[in-house]
Amino acid sequence: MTINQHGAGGEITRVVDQFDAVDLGAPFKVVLHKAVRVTLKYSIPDTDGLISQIAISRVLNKRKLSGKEIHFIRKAIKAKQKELAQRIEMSAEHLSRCESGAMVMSPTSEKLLRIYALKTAWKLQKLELCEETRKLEQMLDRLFDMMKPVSVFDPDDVLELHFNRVPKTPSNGEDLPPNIDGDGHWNADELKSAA
Amino acid sequence: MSAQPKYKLETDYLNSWVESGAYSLVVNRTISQKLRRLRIDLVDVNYVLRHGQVVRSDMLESRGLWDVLGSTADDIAVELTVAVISSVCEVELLQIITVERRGR
Repeated sequence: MTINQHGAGGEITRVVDQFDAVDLGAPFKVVLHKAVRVTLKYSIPDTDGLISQIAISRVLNKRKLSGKEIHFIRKAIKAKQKELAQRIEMSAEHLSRCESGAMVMSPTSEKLLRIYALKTAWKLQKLELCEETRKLEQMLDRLFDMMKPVSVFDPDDVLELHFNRVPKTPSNGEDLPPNIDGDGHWNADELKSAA
Repeated sequence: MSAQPKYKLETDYLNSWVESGAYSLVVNRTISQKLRRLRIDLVDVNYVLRHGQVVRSDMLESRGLWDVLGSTADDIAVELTVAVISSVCEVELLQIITVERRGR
């Protein structure tokens, strides 16, 4: 193991090449590279951000989630059992049994859990977001927090969704002529679609 | 008007500091072993620091010495002591005072 030493005299701080972060309690191995200062103590920068990033990495890994991993991910995204169960359309008792390993989570529920965990962990990281990423975040929020599929509706009430073309470069608020061929992208007209 | 908690300033400071990601969490070997013995981990500790309340405040060699009380995502009540050095954005976990698993 290579050790980089910092500071002269007194307590020597070393930044270790690899640090096995066992105290995070992850049911898989978490290795931190060139980021942890070690003396008789160790120091982890931005622990909160690290925990979110671990959750993101695990949910994007295709290996099936064990009960312990589901439990870890839930803690990492700072969700109580009841809250997470509600979000992924499952009873708290069922989630509890999945976490303890008494039951196996169905592939559909697991996928929903992964998407919810990804969305939440991403948000917890408090990254500087561009407009498009912010929009994606809001859409996912809508999907999980507010949307309840409505199965009873008037069959004569035709569903209309409206879209327009938006130029890539902002227009400074002025009304531009329709952009048919130019450099732009499709945008949903939320007001008209909701009407 | 509801009464303000006694150490509201310290609580707000700690909670938002942890949330901002601008701090380093320092852990010594004794605490590391104690965490395992008490079956809690740094994810729990981080949760308590982010959502808990400072219930006692003192100074230790120019560091803020705070007792923080809170619950984990699993509703385990945890009280711990941290030493805070704001100039280097460092929170050292000094002691786990209590861990209480309710109804278990």
